[in-house]
Amino acid sequence: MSYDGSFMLCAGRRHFPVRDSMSEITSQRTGRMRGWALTSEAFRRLLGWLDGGASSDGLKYLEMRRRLVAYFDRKNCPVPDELADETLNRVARRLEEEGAIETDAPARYCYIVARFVFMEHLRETQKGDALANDLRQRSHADHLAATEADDARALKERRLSCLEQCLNKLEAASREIIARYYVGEARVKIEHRRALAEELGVTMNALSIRACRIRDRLEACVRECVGAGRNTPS
Amino acid sequence: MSKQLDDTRTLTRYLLGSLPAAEAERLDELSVTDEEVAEALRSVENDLVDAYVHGELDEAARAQFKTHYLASPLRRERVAFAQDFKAYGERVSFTARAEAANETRAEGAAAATEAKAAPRRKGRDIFSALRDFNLSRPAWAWSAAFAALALVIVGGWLIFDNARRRQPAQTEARINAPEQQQTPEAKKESADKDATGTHPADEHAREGLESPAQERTSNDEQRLAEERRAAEGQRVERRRAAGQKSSAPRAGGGVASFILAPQLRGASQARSISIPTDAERVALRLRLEPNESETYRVALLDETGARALWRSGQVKARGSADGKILSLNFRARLLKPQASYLLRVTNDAGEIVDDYPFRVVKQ
Repeated sequence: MSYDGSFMLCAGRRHFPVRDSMSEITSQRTGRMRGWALTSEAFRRLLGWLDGGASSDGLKYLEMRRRLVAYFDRKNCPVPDELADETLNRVARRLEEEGAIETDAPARYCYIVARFVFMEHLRETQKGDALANDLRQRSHADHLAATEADDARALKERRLSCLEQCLNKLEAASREIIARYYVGEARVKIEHRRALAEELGVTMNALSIRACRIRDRLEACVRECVGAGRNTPS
Repeated sequence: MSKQLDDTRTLTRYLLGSLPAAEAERLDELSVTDEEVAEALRSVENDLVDAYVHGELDEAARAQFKTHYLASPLRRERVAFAQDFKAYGERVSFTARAEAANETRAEGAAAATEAKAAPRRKGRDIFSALRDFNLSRPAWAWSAAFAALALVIVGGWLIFDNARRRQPAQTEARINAPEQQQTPEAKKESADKDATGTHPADEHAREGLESPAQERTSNDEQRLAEERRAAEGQRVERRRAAGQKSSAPRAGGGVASFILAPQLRGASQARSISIPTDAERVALRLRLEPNESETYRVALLDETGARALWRSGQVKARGSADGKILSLNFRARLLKPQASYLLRVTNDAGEIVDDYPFRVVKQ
């Protein structure tokens, strides 16, 4: 089974395409969700439940997914994206089957499910087939490392070029923020940030949040650009 | 909320895998369930990666970073991005500095050249271009002159009007200034003095007596001084009453009203508010930091920040871009005495605009 269709989550002028990993989740790959497919209706219900009644145009979903990916990554899981999607799929299934989840707040419930998914993943890594998957992942990473060593300079230039392109795609205000927020050494950086916050008329906390989000967008853009460059035949 | 938010050092240790298992697990949960911790962790991680890339970590932290943080391909990508960003920043700075230096040199050279009466370059100098433009189009020149004249006239009228409006106040001030007020007797005295060269009061004063006019003047002064003191006292009372209104609620089973300002980073204490036990609703006015949004949503979160006790619909702020105020109200029974809460304001994009922590004090 596979997730039918893909969603473009729109927030005003911005588009948040659902990652390709959502469409890649199949029972054959995970072996966990046999007999259940994430329908568009189930996905909408999940979005609404995460939003808690106030529509965020999918931003809450993307933020929760980001946190789960980071959680699994910190646990040194080799496929954090898949495990995060697995977690959210299970939550969506529970919502569809029971209509509502009222025992816990959405974020807490997602964490509880994520823990279960992580424990299952740990048990599977003790089995042969999961271990082989890990080894395949690592050998792939090693192969990549070897490739990068060979074309280090070219890749570096490619990355810098992508970074420049992605920076130019940002709005001028965002470009200004990220250029000034992350510039300078430790002590100087604090002063830069304080001055920037004063100029923008925001608190340091709000500025930090804004800068982090801009950086995330930039990282994702560079990753996509570099990946597209690798896939393009030279 | 603040007691649950770990500081930068703890989060750094968490990212480097240096925390005890129990504490790490607690942060595992908070990193998913607590919005504030999730955002702080993100920020600390970016700074940690940048510190590594800039060589600012001490030896122990650097070793821990290499063994623990770099174990993940995803995190290695983040480091690679930070290295690219640093390299790009250095390259751009170098280029910008070089361009600035070139520009300075070019300007100096151009100034030296112009001093030697270089031929006029048509279209290059904005002032010469304007001159040419005006000479070729007299109508534009006349229009510009009329516009300047109109500005001068309007400016002059505004200054005149401003001075005219101030005059009554100044007149009033003079009337209210008893020192400048002269009773008819006082005027007569000064006239007498002018005539005779001596002040009648001086003679009385020499005799140790107060002249009748002096006596009346001093009575007037006393009376006026008393009136002034009474008026000042009333003003102070009114100010005190107004101040109390902003911090203390109206009692009597109605609405408890408060004004909250956004939390500043580093602020350790939340605002305390007293809610009468018989208040049915709580009305809050939130002063927003300057921002571009027009509509907002507000959530009342419990102390842990994980549970939303109340959410507003879409709320429009009042005021200008620099001084927006959000007005909202909810049932007083949502708030328990001696408990802490957080009001979180987000814009339509779901981004946090401001946080307003507060603590309810039992009244």
